[in-house]
Amino acid sequence: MTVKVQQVDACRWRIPRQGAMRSDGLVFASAAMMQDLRRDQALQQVCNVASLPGIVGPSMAMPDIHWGYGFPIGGVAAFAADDGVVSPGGVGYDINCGVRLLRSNLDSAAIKPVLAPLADALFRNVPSGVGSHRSDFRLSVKDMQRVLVKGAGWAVEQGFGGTQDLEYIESHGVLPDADPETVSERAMERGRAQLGTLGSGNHFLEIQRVEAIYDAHRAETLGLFPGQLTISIHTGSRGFGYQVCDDYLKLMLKAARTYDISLPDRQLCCAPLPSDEARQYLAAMACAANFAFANRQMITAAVRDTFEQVLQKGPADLRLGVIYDVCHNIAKWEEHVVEGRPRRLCVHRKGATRAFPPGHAEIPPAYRSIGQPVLIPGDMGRYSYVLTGTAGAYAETFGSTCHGAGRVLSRQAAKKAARGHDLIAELAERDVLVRAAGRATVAEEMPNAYKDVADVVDVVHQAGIGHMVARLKPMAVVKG
Amino acid sequence: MNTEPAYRLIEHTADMGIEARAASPEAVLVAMACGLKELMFGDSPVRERLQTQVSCSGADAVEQLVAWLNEVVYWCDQDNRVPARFAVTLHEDRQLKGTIWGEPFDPRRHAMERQVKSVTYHQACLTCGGDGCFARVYVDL
Repeated sequence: MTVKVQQVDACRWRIPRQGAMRSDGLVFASAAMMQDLRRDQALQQVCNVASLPGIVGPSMAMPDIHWGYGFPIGGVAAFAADDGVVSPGGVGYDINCGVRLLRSNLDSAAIKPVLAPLADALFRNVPSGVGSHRSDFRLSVKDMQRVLVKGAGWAVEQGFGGTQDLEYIESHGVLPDADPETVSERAMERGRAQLGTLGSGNHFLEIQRVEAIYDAHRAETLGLFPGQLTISIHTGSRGFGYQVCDDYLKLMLKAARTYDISLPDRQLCCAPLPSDEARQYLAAMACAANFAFANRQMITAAVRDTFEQVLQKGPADLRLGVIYDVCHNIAKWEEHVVEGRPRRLCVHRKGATRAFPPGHAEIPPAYRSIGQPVLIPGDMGRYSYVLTGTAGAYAETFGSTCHGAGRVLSRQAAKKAARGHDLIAELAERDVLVRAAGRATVAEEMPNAYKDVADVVDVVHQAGIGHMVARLKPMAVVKG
Repeated sequence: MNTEPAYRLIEHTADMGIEARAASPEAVLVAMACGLKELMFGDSPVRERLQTQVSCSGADAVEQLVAWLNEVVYWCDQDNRVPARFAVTLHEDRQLKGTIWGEPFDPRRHAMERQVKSVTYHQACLTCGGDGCFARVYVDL
């Protein structure tokens, strides 16, 4: 089926209601991006999401949109509390996959001579790769339950970081209403040895330098300065989250039959928000989100320890503080004004980032005047961005923006393109050290496999759903 | 009785898919598992040192297919194991009983190609007709 698309302006494209759609689609993209999008199935997925019951406002896609499964990657949709639905496919398997950015007191140029041993030590100290497990500990069932309820706070209680870290994590590193009783034994088993591990695929740990600043006031408020060394952590809820999603897709397939919900794609299976199935899923999803928050907190502690060991400096010299930590695969209860009245909505972000505006009560007081920090990783050869949330995003996209670069090459195409290239050597020539558990991952994650994240960020900045603050250049990348 | 698998890995922008054709539903389920093995571990030679029985069910053939392949993903992920061979029998009420042979992952002999988060229901199908059975899934990587 060909999807009808109407250009609204330089960054916006409307998909008018057609077929079973209950609302319009709204895609943020440049004209060049839209040309590529017409060739795959992502636009159809925007339409499919628009057909779900109780959708409020348009089914949206951010400019990093690409073909996903169920929701498009880059998809945002909000559902009414009374007649809307929750869909595990709108959150994804890697529940609360997200990004954390650490600042430092270090000048990146001064670190260059020890960059290789730093990268080696991070690769050693943070388990990464397919099926990565912690060999040093396995959580007891009781501790696992505490992690699921307390999130990053549990890790801080165990000495992995300080309470000040929690203030700078979305939702303070813990989602409410998490209920371990809603989680299967299998999910518990998969998670118990994976806390504090990076995983593989597009997950990474990156040492970066602040390469450009676009808004000096906001950068200063976030503690960023030119040439500064920063560290990004990109990972999620590991096998625990995958299993929670898998378990609840089965339940939601049954629920969709029970409640007679017509599905254009089984992966969009869902249950009415007032139902017991929805309550159970949201409680289990919160457990997985809390696992992911704790995971990034544990990795943060390992990063701090590693820097202290390699550089022989103490915490006061390094000042490795959390700038912010964002979720980009999540469903959250939020209040938004729709057609002039406040409504409680379940906002699904599948490969999209919350981007709340200046003044919002959920932003840490230190940043409240500038808006919520938004962390947008690019590919491992080019750059990543720091943005802040805007009033425009709050008004138009339920306070959401993009989450990354978005793939343009399939994995097989990327591997083919990488044939005959020594990507690790080529990246080293561009001053990017790579430490990876598998060469296959490096080939599939090659820079050209992704859109240029600068183009993505340019669209959100122009559209007013994100505000550019700084650009970060990778210096060393640890990949799974 | 399981026939020689005939599968292929298919393109997806962010993830990957598997398609297979075989003479019977059992054979196509085995072929899909072989495709999943290649996607995760390439063509690593694997010995049959372990044997595990698994069972699962689904409301229809597609749900059964996805459930079976996710059993294979879990078998590999939970204890770091590599599969060598599979067998499937189908029973009443959409019950599937499977056997997985394989061994613990050994980095000296096995390639780790990709982590599969899960096998999805997106465009999943399993149909059988006069010319045999066809199945397709996309996996989240």
